[in-house]
Amino acid sequence: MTAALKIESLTKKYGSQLVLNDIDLQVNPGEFVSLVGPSGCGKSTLLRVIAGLTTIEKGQIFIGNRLVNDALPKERNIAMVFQNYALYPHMTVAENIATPLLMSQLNLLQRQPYLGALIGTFSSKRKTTIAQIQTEVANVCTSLQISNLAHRKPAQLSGGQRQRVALARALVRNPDAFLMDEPLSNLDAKLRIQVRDELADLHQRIGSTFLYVTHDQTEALTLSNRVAVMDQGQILQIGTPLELYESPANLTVAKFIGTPSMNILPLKMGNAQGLSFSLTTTNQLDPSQLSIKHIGIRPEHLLMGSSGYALPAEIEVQLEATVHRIEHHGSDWIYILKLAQWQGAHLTARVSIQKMSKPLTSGTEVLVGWRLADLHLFDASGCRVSAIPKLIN
Amino acid sequence: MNKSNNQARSENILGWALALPATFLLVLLYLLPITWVILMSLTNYELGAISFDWVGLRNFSKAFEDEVFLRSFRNTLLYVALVLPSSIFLGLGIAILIHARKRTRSIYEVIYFLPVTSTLIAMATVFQFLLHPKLGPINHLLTAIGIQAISFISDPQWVIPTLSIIGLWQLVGFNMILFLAGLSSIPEELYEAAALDGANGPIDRFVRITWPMLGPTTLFVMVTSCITAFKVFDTVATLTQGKSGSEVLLYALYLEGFQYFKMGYAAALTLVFLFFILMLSIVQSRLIEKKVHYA
Repeated sequence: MTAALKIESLTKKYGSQLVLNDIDLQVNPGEFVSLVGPSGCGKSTLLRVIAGLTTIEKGQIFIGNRLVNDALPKERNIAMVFQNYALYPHMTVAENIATPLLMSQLNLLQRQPYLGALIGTFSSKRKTTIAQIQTEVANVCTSLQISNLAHRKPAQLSGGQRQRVALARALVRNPDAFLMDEPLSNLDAKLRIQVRDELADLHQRIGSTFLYVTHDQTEALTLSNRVAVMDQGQILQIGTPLELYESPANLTVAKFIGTPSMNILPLKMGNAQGLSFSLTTTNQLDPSQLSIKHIGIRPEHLLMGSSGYALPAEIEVQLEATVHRIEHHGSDWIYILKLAQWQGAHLTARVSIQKMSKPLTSGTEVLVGWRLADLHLFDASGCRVSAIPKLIN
Repeated sequence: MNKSNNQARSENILGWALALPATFLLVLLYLLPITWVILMSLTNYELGAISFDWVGLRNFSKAFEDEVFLRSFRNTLLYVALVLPSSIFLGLGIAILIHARKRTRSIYEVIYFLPVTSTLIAMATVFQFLLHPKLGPINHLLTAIGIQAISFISDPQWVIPTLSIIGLWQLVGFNMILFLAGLSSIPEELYEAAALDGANGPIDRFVRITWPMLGPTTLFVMVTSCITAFKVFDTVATLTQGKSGSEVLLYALYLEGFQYFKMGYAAALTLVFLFFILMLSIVQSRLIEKKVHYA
């Protein structure tokens, strides 16, 4: 019933363009995995490949233990929720939900309109099957609280209701896994959060395997057991939301995960515009061989103090800056600061309103600082460097 | 109070003023001519005559005893019965086949649409040659496979079916284009959802998605094809001139009005024709509207 998804060295091209480049992905039974990435990164294509809606050039797709490379979509026993729901507009909600069951449980003649009913008058078996299907549809409707909509057409439903009908059509088949292609992107902000919670509840309740595509990192981080960040047809990093946030594997992931995104500053070793590091590593690497080209720091790890008053001594890096712009984000102030050094690079700092009830005005001179331990280090190729920096003065 | 009253009145006047040009044209171009035809149908007016008499409904009762008119009526119904279903299903079938093509699609579109753009008067000579009992290649072909030559245009048994096939030849391309437009508007996602749901065979795809989604197109095609078929005139006028019992409604009307100058009688026939077109359109849209889904 609930099965693992396994993808091995999968490659997909559109013409000469490489859309999926040697992808490996394992989704454990019952796990909720999200694929995030900018548009055009190949995440939706990956989903369609797993569903069997597109062919692949190379690689293997396993659902459970079955190799499904050549299986038709219906034989893969997976359900997919489309971005625009893809409900059949001419059918009622109940008919929409019943369709996958009609297709799998009746033969070609029995399931035809009119003709099927005609055959049905001679066979009691069709009647019992139809009755069973109706019961199953009713059960799914009840569990998703759409029983009162059963006789409406999709055009008469709101976005959230359509979303639920699409879910019901997926659920009713009792599939091995659920594939969801940006299912919340057509909902308004408030409804999106509500349906997101419902999805989380649903996953908890049925414990099925979910593979979820989104470009919204908040959705991915809140819903998933693990998140895979994709870019240009490759999976850059896969891990728990916390892993992605705390130790992004490369610059792209670092910039993509977190709002506001991580501050990235270019760095030249030896002559680093007022900052010089020595590195100690926890592993066998020779620290002097490592070259750091970028440093990253999360907005919430920046500390601000008034100009002239030094920040506490444990804040190793302290730089002068001016306030460029201030945004109010509910519980936080977001400060865009302009550094005096670093060619006037901008830094984004997040300060809790509890700590600073009155915002500084723009143009104010401030001190901004951070702990070295909070720094993320990246080498020339953009990969994360696991090392502990130390300031040289 | 007074002020708002004034405002309401000026708005009222403005509303009428804005509707006036359209109303004027409607009256001038539709209502007046129809009233004129209705009035004329109650007379025995002949073109060029100095006087006429009011004859009441005698023109209508005469029509339903008129051998020629009744035959033209039967012929028209037969013609519609042959052309309507075949042009719809053939148009749909060709549209589905062409829709699936990628590079050659536009070539086929042009091929099937050509008859729509060709003038039938000019094509009539070609058909006359093709269908000629002695010279025509079709009859050559028939005799070659051992079938007796058929006088397609002069044999009363064959003339209406022959005209229907020419009508079909001209109509099918138009219907195909309409169906192609309908097919293009069906979202691909629906077929993908259907493939996952298990409806991936051609029959299931057609019955579950294509046919229901084409409902509005089919209704439109049906009404326009029906009206076109009812209006059959040019093939009769050019190929048979109503000989061998091949009169159709419009041709009978044309004969009475423009050959025999019996304008009163022709007006009555026009009204009968109008009435049938109107009834058919109403019945079709009422019946089918219930079954058609508009997205």
